[in-house]
Amino acid sequence: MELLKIDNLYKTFKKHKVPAVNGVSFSIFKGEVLGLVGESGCGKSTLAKLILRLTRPDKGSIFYKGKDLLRVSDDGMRKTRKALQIIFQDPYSSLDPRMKIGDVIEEVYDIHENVPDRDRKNKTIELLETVGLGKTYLNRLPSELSGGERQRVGIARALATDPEFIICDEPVSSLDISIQAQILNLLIELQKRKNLTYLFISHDLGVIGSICDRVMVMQSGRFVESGSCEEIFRNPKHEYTESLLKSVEILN
Amino acid sequence: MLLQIKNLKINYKSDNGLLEVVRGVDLVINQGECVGLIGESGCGKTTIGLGITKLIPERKGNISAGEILFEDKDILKLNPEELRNIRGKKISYVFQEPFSSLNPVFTIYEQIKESLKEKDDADNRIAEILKSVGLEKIIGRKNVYPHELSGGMQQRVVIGMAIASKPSLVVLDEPTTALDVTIQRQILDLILGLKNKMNLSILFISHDLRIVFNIADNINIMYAGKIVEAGPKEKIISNPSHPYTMGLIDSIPSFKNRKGLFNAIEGRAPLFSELPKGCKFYPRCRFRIDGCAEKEPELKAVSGGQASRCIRTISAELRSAAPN
Repeated sequence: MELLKIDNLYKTFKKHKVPAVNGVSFSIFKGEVLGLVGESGCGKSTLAKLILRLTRPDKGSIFYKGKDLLRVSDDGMRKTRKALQIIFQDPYSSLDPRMKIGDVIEEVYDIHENVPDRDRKNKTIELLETVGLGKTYLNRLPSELSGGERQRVGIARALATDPEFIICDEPVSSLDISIQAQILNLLIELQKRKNLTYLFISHDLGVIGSICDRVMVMQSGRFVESGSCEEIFRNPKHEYTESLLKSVEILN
Repeated sequence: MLLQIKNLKINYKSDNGLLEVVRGVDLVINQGECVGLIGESGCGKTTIGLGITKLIPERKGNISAGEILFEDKDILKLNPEELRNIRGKKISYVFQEPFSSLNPVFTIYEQIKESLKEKDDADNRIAEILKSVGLEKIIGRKNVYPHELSGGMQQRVVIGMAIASKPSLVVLDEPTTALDVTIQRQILDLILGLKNKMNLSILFISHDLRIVFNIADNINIMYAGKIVEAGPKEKIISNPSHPYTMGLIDSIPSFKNRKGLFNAIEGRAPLFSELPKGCKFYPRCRFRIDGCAEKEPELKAVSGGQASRCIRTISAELRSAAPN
């Protein structure tokens, strides 16, 4: 089933003359992990923001289950966002340093009014357990957590609205390699268990290759190549894809 | 042997008194060799790099034991004058963030000139250096400032400054971590080229095995302040001995590791204030046995020219078995 359909999206920021997203079209199907790879400044995070309507495109359309998100009212969009969540790169700056972990997650219920008062605590504990933390974390502050633990909180927060689609925007880029593997394991497990759909953004083709079904390679606001992971890794067609591949391989 | 570190111990001050974060490290770098030092954040690898030229500020900590023999002299016994002749001249550094290594209010020309040993004929020397780091574009452009360059170009400038004094050893501490992957590759190629041309010796510090595997001749894996495995690169990739090394290699994300869940290392690295007794890795180790908690193992030679700090011999079958 086609969950999201992105049609001919354009976005140019006022400060810049060059478009950040320059005519991009693709679909994401229910239950798939779609990779988006490219270097800093290629437009991948802008694309993520456009999909969630955190910024408006100049042109183009975004359909979620057939509904044009650019024509939905702000109130309607808030409701839709329950289903569309995001996990950010930097677990340090995406958590309020003065909020306890339990409150970080419960703030989501305040916004979306999706959990009755009596169930709040239980739901929060359940979410923390789902991401491998547990209730001892409820009253801790972000500063008491390691990078990996903070990213687990970011994942729990994204799950708090029971979404069906999550944008993972460089979720492991700032983590040590052993912790990267733990978080990737967690994301793979959750995806299978809850039949989630991911748009997985990374500059690291190794990470993309380990988790994605399909991949789109982005350069200067455009897709230069896309296809199944198998195709891209076995037989890259674009020069840029090749250079990205070369940069993560180990010489034997 | 250009540099030989023997039983180096370094402490940092903390609220709970002195904490030993480098706990007896031995390391050898030969002329023209690139030695990799790999470990996770906070394992002490950067501290070793700084310690080599006594760059640990007194208010932060001290070097409590060991020898650092550089060209047969113990750096720890040199007077400040002698140290100045080594720092930045015979041993130079390149750090992670090129932008914070460069001074934003001085031009690239002024900054390279500052790192030259002799200032006469500076313009020609600077042109030579810019050429050797692939920055022909800015030769002769004396009013270019750091902010006008991309991250990759800035790191090229920093590398240029590091080699300006024709050092024999360059300490590269995560030199590519802040850069995009394709730029990383270019910088690694540049470093390898310079190493061959100038017969440089390199200490390459990084948390990223993929990068170190691509550049180093010999590799040291560090955990909680000690080397846990050391040996030639090829051996360590194909046949790691220490469970921590195995875990790191199994954590490398790749197309080959596809969706079969990673054999990830559980938990997190211990704090130096709460190091376990015995082997420091055993609480996270999937091969632990009863003896592991008793005594910290010595680094001992194992087959294949490696040395490993583990009391077990872990066969390939055991390694590939599913984690419990």
